[in-house]
Amino acid sequence: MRLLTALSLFLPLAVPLPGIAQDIDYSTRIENAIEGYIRPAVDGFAEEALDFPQAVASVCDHPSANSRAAFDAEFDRIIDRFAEISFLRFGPLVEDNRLNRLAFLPDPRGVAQRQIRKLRSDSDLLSLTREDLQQKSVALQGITAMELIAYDTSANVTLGTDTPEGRADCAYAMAIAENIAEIGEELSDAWHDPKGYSADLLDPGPDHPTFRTSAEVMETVFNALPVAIVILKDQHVLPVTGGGPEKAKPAALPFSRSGHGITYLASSIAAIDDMIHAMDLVPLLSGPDKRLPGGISFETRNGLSVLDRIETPVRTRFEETGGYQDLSVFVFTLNSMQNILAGQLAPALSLAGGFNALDGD
Amino acid sequence: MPLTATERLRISRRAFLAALGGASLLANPASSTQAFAEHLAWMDRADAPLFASARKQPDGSFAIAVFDDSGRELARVPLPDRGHGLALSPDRQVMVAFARRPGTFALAIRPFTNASPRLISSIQGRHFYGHGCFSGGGRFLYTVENDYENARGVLGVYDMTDESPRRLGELDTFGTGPHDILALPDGKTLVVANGGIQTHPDRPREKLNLGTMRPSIVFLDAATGDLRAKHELTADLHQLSLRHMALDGAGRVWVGGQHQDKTASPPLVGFVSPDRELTLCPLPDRFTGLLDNYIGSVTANRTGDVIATSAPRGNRILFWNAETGNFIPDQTVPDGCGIAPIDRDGFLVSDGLGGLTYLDAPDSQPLVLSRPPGVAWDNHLFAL
Repeated sequence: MRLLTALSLFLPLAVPLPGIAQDIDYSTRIENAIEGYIRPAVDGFAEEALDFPQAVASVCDHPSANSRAAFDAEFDRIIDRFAEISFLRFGPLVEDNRLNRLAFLPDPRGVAQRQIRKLRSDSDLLSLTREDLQQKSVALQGITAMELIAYDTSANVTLGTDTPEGRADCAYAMAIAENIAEIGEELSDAWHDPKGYSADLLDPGPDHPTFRTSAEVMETVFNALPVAIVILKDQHVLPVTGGGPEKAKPAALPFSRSGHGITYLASSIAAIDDMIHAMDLVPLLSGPDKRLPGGISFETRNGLSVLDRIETPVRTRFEETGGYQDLSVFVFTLNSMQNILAGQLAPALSLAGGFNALDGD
Repeated sequence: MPLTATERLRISRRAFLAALGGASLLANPASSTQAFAEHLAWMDRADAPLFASARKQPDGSFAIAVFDDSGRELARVPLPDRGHGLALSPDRQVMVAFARRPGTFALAIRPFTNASPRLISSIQGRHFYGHGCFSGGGRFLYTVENDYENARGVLGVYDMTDESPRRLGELDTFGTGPHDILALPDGKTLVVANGGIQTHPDRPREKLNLGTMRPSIVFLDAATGDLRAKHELTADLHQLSLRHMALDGAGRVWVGGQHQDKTASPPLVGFVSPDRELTLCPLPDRFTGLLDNYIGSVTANRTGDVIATSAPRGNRILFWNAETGNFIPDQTVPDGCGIAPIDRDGFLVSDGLGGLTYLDAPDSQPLVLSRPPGVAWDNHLFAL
């Protein structure tokens, strides 16, 4: 799987090849994706998010080592479930800015932290409600904001401090948790709405405003996978390792403040593998290409194995435990996954190309 | 869909976005007007460089987006179809967005007045090629067009004095398939890259003369249209379609091309001046076969000493020393194509996956600043 030319390393935005993909009926694969992966994943996130306000209430009302540990465990589950849906960058997750409201990523310049600082100084957080929060910047509304107010930089839960500032942060945290829970419910409802986005994906047609054919739907759904790899690698991991071992920046890893960045990476690649297999692409493949979905699983297992070696929290353990080497190896895994997805599987499914790669522009 | 601005940016360009709000009436009045109005309330002080680019929206529609140096979207102008390049007046008071070829619309926006944007339609027998430029004084707009019945490139000339652009006539580009155009700093000379490929809107995006194509770079008298210089490639490179250009600090014109023979490994980037033929810059061998012979855009940094060229099919941004023509280490940006200068030495790169990547120098670690979900940035990015 690693013998591909570098040409095929990144072909991230697939579009149907004229006259080929248009003749293929992808509708069963799309239905598989919706029923076998997307709906269970958004339901899982929604269910987990419903527990989030209670976790905030527990640690704020009864701060203790146990309640902090319980909050941390719940936060880890939220990250895990969020990773399972965050790459579905189409439809309900994009509508109403839900993805950015759930997690403001990337944020290399610390926009969210600056905004939180300003919010704390300008607002009466004790009276802040979910509805109030929803009128504010997306950077203040979701998981990334929660991490900034609930953890210190060494992954310790700080929520529940019995000070005026601590009580204000608890009110803010509750508004965030309720907002996340509401977005989770919205996502689940939207994906289960028989006349909603699912219907758009399942009933393309010449008069449909977005999708004329199942190939165009497949383009949208499948593209989410190689794009997810690009984001994981270029946006999340390389800012940590790209400068070399002397300039490694473990704090640049999303959710590293809480110590759950590796959870996010692991769940993300596992989710890609799960989606591939839920789609059951093998019937559309022939010959050796039938092994490509299995290749994704192989690389996923490799990646999970590497990530499992990285000690957390990475911000404090990265240097002394060889985290740089392991995360660098993980980049190779991502390259291999991308090789398969964009370099082999996309062409095998008659999908290839890129938005900016069309002739003559 | 609301704008994705993340905090209330304060800039002095109230009228700028007011005008863009008017532009939104072109295709989607309700959502965009509301969004612009929302932002107008807090724009009162300038403190951020702005950028603009055409893009595909998550719902499949097309727009021009305006955003700041951290990727925060400030405004969006719906377009009726896919856009491509922008022409900016020298004083940055007018912005003209062009349809992607073979489109027939352009949109003139006067951002610092409350004038409504004006639609420019290509005349009968012509279509736009996605690019244009203003004259040195800003009065005239030159649009790159196809006289497709005669397989002849032309420049439409528009008087931009009044709110409604007025077509004055056209100039010959002395070639076929013109694509990019620049106005030289002398205020008297236009440079046009004639891609050399004949197309016809009845057979959209089909190349009709690959065996005989003759790309060229021409220098024209901006006032008379007289040909001052024409540089063509040698016969062995006649299929290197010369497409995009940028000026370096010394006034030389840097050119990026797209070779039509996928089996060849020609140089794709070079520089030229009126009195000196095109010098092509060799690519390191390691790029052989990697770029699919395709350069998507060309941009100089602020100081003009580094040229950035994008190769979206190879997912690479290639950098060149403008003085020596030597290659500088490349960067990987998947489907990266649009490039604009930022700060003194840096570049901002937009890509087809929605990413806006900051490079403070050619050899620095790319930093993804923003990636609005479902968005695909088009080929070109402009600093306003």
